[in-house]
Amino acid sequence: MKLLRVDMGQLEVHWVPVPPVFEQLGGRALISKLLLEEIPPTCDALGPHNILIFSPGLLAGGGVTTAGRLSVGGKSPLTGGVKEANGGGTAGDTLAKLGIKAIVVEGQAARGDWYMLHVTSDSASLLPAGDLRGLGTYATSDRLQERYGADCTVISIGQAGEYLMVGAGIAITGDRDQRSNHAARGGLGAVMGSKGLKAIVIDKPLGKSIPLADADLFRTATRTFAQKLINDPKLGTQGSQHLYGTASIVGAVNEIGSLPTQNFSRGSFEHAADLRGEHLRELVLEREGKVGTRCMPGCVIACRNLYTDEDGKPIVGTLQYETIALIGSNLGLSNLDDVARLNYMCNDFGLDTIETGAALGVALEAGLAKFGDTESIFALLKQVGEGTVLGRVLGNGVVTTGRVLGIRRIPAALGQAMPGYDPRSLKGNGVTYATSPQGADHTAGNAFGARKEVNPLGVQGQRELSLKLQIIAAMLDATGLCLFARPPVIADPQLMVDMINGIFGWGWNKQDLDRFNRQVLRTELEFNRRAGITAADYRIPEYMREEPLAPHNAIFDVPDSDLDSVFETL
Amino acid sequence: MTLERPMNVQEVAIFIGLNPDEIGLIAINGVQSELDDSVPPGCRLCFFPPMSGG
Repeated sequence: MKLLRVDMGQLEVHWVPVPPVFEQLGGRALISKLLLEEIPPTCDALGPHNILIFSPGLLAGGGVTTAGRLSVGGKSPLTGGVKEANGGGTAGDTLAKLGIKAIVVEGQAARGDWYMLHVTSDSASLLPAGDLRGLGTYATSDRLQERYGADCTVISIGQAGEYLMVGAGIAITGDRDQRSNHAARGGLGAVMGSKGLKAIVIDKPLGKSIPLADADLFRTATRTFAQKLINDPKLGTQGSQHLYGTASIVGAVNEIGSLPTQNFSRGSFEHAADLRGEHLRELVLEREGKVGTRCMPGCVIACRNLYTDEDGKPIVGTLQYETIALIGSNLGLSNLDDVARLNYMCNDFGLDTIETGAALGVALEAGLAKFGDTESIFALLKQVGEGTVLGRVLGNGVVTTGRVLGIRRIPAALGQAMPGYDPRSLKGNGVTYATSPQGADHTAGNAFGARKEVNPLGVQGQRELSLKLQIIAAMLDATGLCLFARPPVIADPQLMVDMINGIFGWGWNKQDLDRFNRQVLRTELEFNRRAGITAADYRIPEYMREEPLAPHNAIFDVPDSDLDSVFETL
Repeated sequence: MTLERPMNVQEVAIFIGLNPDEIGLIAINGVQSELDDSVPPGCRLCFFPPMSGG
């Protein structure tokens, strides 16, 4: 494998061998180590010393189901710390098959100049891309796929990234209708924009495959893994995830009082039934849209959908839980068509729907529009794409929006918006939001559904639960696996060990895997420490400790001492 | 529904024709619960299939 280093200042690309210190790393693990080794942690995240890394996980490219997620990372302009965001689509597997361990983008182009990177099986070139400036991600990927072939993968930013808004993410094309997958969180779209890089095009790797150290071991483990997913009642063809996508949890999260509603002011929404996955499926099938589609070839879960309007015209592929929560109930919206259209706009502008939904929620609380006022909400979001002054406030996320508009109820941790689980009713998630080096990120350790171990409304055991989940998440993010595919490798870590050994022949055992997973977190915590992030930053907002959340009148009361000691046993 | 005698969650599930092994999340009055929890009078009891947070 090799690294592709892209110098945006000199406009040069170089293929370099992988240094030994990075050899046994991939995805989030590689990102955290590269950041710690190569950049000053106190650097300006939108300045020339930050790097932007695109890295497939360790299992990418070998046909392991769901292992094609692409990790994107850098210092986050939103949290001020390490950031890894990963997205589905075809980029992860494609880069692995081309033998590319990571693309590392450094420096900055002259301000106002825009470039694209074209990567083939044996070359890479930076090309002027002024003609793409100002385009949304859909038009960008359409134009580039017309130019380079429908089979190529396009990674791009929209207007939000061009404007350096820290709510900006990075779009990745995917399988068939799933044109817009996002490495959304943490403002990495702004980092890409700060470098003057509008898009990356990666040619389809025809006839390429990754070498295997032990093909029999690998194939046995891979088949076992896929079969266990197919047999899992949540994930198989009759499972909720496949039938309804992540929207399957809307009803349950609402029932336990954790659904963000009207700027996180309540935990249940009176119109939640209209947002449920069952209703989404009914609508989509009536309108001849699609459910049970996949963002990457070979996925056996296939949780995506192609959401269509009343005339059967596609609105967005895909409408999922986090967007339904943050752009739906959090804004008082109960019509899935409206949520889908707002989702499309966010995708096109290249915005994180969680950060944007949270920012809009704060804006509505400030009186810029009424909760549930669809037309006004659309008008506010349009301003983000247009780059108006108010649009730039909203596009810079929930904390900026709250401060500018004088709102105290800002649902964020480490500067990043909270996802679709209010931590007052799901305290394990609150511990993750507060303590993860990634900031408020449910994918860093989601306690939803973990009732058997810990009472979601209680204080006891949340610290230990969050640590366990954060270690698991680090493993998934380093290997490129979709987090929905976690059950078999949690139940039997030997499966993961066998898949890794089958590809690389490293001779790992379960203890090696555990050490690897924990080291990801240690590296990230060290980077954040050097970046100046202290214990006082790893907190839940004060108002969530005081303001009871209906329907349970719950506050977040896990003590700071528990938050400070989450990683004592790491 | 009316129960003729006090039951726990698992008993109610079987009573209404659900396979307890196919239940993912249980909530009594909005609080996550388990199969062996008692079902209090006048409560709201919800059964959800196995599902995964995303």
